[in-house]
Amino acid sequence: MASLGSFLEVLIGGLLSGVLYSLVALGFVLIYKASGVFNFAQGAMVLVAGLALVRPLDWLVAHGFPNWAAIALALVFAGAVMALCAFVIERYIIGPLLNQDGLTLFMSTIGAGFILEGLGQMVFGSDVYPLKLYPTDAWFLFEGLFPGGVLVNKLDVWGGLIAGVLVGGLAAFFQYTKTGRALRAVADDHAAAQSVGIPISWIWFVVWLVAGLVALVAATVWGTKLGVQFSIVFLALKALPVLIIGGFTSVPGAIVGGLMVGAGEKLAEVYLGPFMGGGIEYWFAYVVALAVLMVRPQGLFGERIIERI
Amino acid sequence: MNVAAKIIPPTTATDAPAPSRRSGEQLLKVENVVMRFGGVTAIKGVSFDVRKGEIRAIIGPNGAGKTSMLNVINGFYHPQEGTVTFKGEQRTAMRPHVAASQGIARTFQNVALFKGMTTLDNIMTGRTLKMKRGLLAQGLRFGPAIREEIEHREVVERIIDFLQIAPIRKSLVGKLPYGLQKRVELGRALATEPELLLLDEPMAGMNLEEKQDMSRFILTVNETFNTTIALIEHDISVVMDISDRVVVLDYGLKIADGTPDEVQKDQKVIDAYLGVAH
Repeated sequence: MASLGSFLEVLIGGLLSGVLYSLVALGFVLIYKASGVFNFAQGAMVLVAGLALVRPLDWLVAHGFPNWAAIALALVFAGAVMALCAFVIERYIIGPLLNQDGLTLFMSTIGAGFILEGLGQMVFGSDVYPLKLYPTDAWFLFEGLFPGGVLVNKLDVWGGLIAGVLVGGLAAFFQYTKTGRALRAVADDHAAAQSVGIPISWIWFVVWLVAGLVALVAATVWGTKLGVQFSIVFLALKALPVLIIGGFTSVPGAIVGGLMVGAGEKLAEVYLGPFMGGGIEYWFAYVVALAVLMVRPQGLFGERIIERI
Repeated sequence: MNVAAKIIPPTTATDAPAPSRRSGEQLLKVENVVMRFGGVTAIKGVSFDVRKGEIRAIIGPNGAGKTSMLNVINGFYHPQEGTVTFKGEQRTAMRPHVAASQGIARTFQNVALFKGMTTLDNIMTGRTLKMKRGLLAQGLRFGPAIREEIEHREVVERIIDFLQIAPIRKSLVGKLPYGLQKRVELGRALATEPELLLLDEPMAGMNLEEKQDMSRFILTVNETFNTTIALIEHDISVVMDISDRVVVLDYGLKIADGTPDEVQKDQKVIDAYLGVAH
């Protein structure tokens, strides 16, 4: 049996890497909340955001810009690219499908995802680009308590802090602003929202923009961890069990779901892995999600769906 | 046997005949509107007007084009031909949120509420256009933004009191019975402080008592706030009681237009409702 120290290390490491899943899941939740659309392009948006950040950053650094200026400029550029994406997606893909069935909208986001992946790599290149925005070394905590201490990655801690700030900001946005209320209204009923004077195209642009910026934040953390590369797109798949566990409509749900998946899969790998030949990490989250679906289909924090017949 | 008496049963909802306000100026004018969907023509060149301060009913059998007409007026549909003039401004097409900002509010035939939100929040969405404070101020809850929110809350609370739905202020509307949902929907439309209120079958599926309540609300809104109302309704007795003028549609054509008395004596209206032997 492993010691308490290593248990803590696995737990903390798992929780913090779960935060990264939460970051991706957040983007999904935002768009789902505001348009009832499951946005399959979220992974592609993380990729595009990462590429639009890392390539100009490298270029600026190579041309002698000081680091801080290069990072600031590249962030602004990537933000602008995400705004452009949001505009184009709203204007030409989602907008014309107003009042259509949810499944139609879902299919259109699959298409948008392919276009984003293709265009992003065509414009910015398709190699693996290392990104160094956050410190990647580690702290050793509680060295007095446990032999060797508890190893905590600084990058993961940064990810956690950023996710916390994002969630706080988004919660305030949804709860206290008229745009937030308008967003929830649009999610429930397009026609009714229009009839009280909510401009849907503007609201959708805002939503996709916010989701794009969340994707950018996720890209900075994931990019630092893995390098900006195509496989980031598949992170979106990891966000799926997170969403099912947390609930598609809940911002806190995305966070808690991410934490549960992160911690759960690491703990399962370390403690159950040896008995099952390892590799648990890859499917553990999906099994948990399946269990949640059977017990609580709306997710832990999701809105209960009441259907009148 | 008197046919008209059969279609139009004796007064039930209110006793006093609605005062005529026909002298008012035109608020809305619909001219020669044609609305086609593929091969189907839902509205075939209909013209009528709505005068300031009146209650105007649009009636007709199923499929007459009544709801399509409302959708044209508030911009959900863009007619192929014809014009809509609102407050002296002529247009052929308008987007719904622009219509709302110009003072047209509406309710829907099959209640369209924000089911995941409370009664209070639903009605608050009606205040969207009236709230001016920036995103940041609202999110951070700065003083002026809080004051603004409180101001609008007061308006909304008055509407809630008026509609007698205080006990369900915090309930999710998806869980409410149908009659109450219709009331919440009316509240949301009222919260936009409309000049023209479009009601699509406000009493559909209600029992007698609920219909009386709703008639009372409609009349009070009309009298107290001088809100002009255009409504579609199937219950002819209600229509005859509360409306000042009635326009009758049948198969996309206007077949009659006038006071309730004139309309219910019109042979074409009687035929449309009861069917006529050819």
